[in-house]
Amino acid sequence: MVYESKVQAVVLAAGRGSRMTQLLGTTVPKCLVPVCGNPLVYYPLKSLEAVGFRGKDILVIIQDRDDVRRALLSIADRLGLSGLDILTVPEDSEDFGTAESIRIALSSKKITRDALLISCDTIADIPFRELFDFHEIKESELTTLFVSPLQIPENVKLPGPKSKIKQERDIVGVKPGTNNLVYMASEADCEEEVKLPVSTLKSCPHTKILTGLVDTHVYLIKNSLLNRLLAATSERNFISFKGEFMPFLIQNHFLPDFSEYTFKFYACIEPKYRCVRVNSIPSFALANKSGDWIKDVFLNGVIPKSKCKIARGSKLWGTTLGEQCVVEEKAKLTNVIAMDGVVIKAGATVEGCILSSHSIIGANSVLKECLVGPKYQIPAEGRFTNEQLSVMEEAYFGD
Amino acid sequence: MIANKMNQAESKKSGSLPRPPPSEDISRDDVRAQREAKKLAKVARKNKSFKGKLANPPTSTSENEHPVVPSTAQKSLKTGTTSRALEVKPAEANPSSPSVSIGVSADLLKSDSASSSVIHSLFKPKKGKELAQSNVSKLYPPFYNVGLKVRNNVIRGANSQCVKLLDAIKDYVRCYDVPPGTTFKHGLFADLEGNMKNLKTVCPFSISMSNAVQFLLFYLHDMPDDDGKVIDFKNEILDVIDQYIVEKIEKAVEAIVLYGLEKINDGDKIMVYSITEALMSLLVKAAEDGISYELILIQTRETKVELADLLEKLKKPTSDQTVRVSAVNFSSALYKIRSCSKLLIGGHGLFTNGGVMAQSGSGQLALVADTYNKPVVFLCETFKFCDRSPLDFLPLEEYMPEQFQTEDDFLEPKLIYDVTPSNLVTVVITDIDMLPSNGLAATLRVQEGGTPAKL
Repeated sequence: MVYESKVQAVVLAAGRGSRMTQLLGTTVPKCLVPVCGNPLVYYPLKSLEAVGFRGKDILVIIQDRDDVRRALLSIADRLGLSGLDILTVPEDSEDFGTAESIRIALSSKKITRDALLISCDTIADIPFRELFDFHEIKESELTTLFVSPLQIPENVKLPGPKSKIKQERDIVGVKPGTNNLVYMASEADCEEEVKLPVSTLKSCPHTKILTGLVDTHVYLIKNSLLNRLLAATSERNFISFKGEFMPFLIQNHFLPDFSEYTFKFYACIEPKYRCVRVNSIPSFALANKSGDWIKDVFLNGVIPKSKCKIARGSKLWGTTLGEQCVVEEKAKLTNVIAMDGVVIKAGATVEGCILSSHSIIGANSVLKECLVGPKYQIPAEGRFTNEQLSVMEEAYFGD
Repeated sequence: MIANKMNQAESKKSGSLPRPPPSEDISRDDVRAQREAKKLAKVARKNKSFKGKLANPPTSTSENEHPVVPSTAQKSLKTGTTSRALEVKPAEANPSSPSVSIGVSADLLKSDSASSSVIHSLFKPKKGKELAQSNVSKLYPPFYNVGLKVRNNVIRGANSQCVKLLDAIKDYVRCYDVPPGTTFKHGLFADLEGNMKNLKTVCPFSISMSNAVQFLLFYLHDMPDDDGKVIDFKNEILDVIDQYIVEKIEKAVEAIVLYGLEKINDGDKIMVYSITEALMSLLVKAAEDGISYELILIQTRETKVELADLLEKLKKPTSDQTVRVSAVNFSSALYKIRSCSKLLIGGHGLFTNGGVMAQSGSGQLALVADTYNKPVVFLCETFKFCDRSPLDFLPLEEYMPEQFQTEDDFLEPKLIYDVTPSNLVTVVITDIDMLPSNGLAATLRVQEGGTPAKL
């Protein structure tokens, strides 16, 4: 007898990439951003497939877009995941986030078992067995997974404009010994100070604060807890599951009025594993430059060969090209990450840039450390250094 | 120019002390180092001749590069040897004996591998054998849950492990669907057996657990072939399991408590170790009955949880507080035993040769008590009887948890159980009667009328 899996994987892929708009525009949804030749959502699905999840145990929540659906089905074919469950959420409101996705999934009764919530932008060597065992042993209702951040490989400069790289770190407070999760905040949310509520300290006087870890956004959460969440948050509007809802839950469950819920949250900490969350431009560049690590982690994963046209006489060094790129003669590309459909005309010199999809670099132009937005056309003989070039009002430019 | 290069080479060595600028004369230290290096190289060559080709690569490279380094550093720089030679230099902080000796000692380790590897393999951390992917889906999830908890010591104590496993089995039986092509009995038997085999790879079974499973499989085997409804069979099996739990565990504990009460008198000073459910119940009942005795608890790192439990139960206001409790370190037992009247130990398993398995350290305590002529009393239910006769803990599977601290080469194995030989045991209190430990095997055999089938 083969026993049914108790856990349903839920991949949250409806995001718009609000922190990467210069890269994506509205043309490319975040889940289809190419990283080392594969769309971003390929990686969590590959991790799930590698550990044994079958298609019908996976629910993917996406925007209501045809290109996303098609890409998803082709990925499912490649990975052998048949019967993938897809839920579309309407892409209307501005403040749409992960919490909304989950709420819609719950109300449409799509999540029936314990859920493993994975964000589409997590590229990681996820220790599923350790996470599941930990969850079982502790009898926890919500288990988070923290691993070490992926380091920039040596001798690699990340392309893109030198923006003030705000480190996306997570500040986590755990009870040493049992690993109860007592505090969680993102560094971006704490401007100058980290505030620990007194109620937290009263119930857990010995708290260990960890700052060197990154939250993989992989959450194992019991079905009963999910449903209680649905009920409890009907009055408050949460946008982001991780950013707003979880800190709220963790900090408030020590307060007396929450005491009827006995939540048990645990943090599974595995610093031997690495993860990169592709939700900002520097991390996107990092992910693209870490092809070796990705190949190690995703064994048997195929990095498809893209159909590019590269003319003679052009020089490419440390460059990643997406699908259907065209590089004409005497072009010189150094340390460039190009997404799909980029055209680089003859004689152009591009150094340390990120070129978004379908951008056109004019002939004999010189670009250094720029970020070229989607469908932007760099004029011939243009000279740009350290700039973010993007089409402002996308609605005006038709094609 | 040469001196510059030498300095450069040396500055490449990570964090080494700055050496005096080399002149044409080689310093005394250098000469000594060279001599030592040559000696060690000779030993290495000797070992190499014993070992043959296998040892060649490490010794030969260290041999070649090493003694060459100090004296001919200049020469090698001049002749421009391969980068490997230069790499060897920065690798060592002190260019002489250390690295060659490491190469040699590796050989020595290999040569008396017979003794060291046995010890090493004994105390190597036993990685929980990875449950193969295919097996996970064949293992009923509550079993896996129990297995994980047992392995990680969340479920402590033989009795509770057995009860939790039997509960999981009951759950399993309730949910069992007969696959087409087999009868209920055969299908259930085969499936349960397979599940237990898979579970054994997750966690080592304690004696109580294996006995319970064996009993159940034996019963299943003996069940008449079905010509009845599946639900009837299921109910029958559930009843049998319940009966087992009640008879062999709960009632056994009560019986032991009754016998044990005869042994606890007013004014007794009792040293207690390896706290099991039976022992805890006995102490609590004695306190409830108003016997004023004094309790000496042995406290070790592993027993914190059980001691806390016991203290909680003793604190419950029963009769007037007549039990004085003190807790001492394990090493203080040697001193304390002199003033005690007896030593009570909770047993985890009983063997045919009269040996008793209990928490690690009980063997030592029994020896200490025996030296001072204090009676050593073990409390053990009969369902923990095991058909083996180990002389010590080594052949047992579960003597060590899988995680223990290893700082580099320092192995600190954390042993959980050990075996006390029968000559140190005064009496074993079981649910049948109070028995001498080596008479137990015979008594049980006579009682049950034949040996139970092996799993």
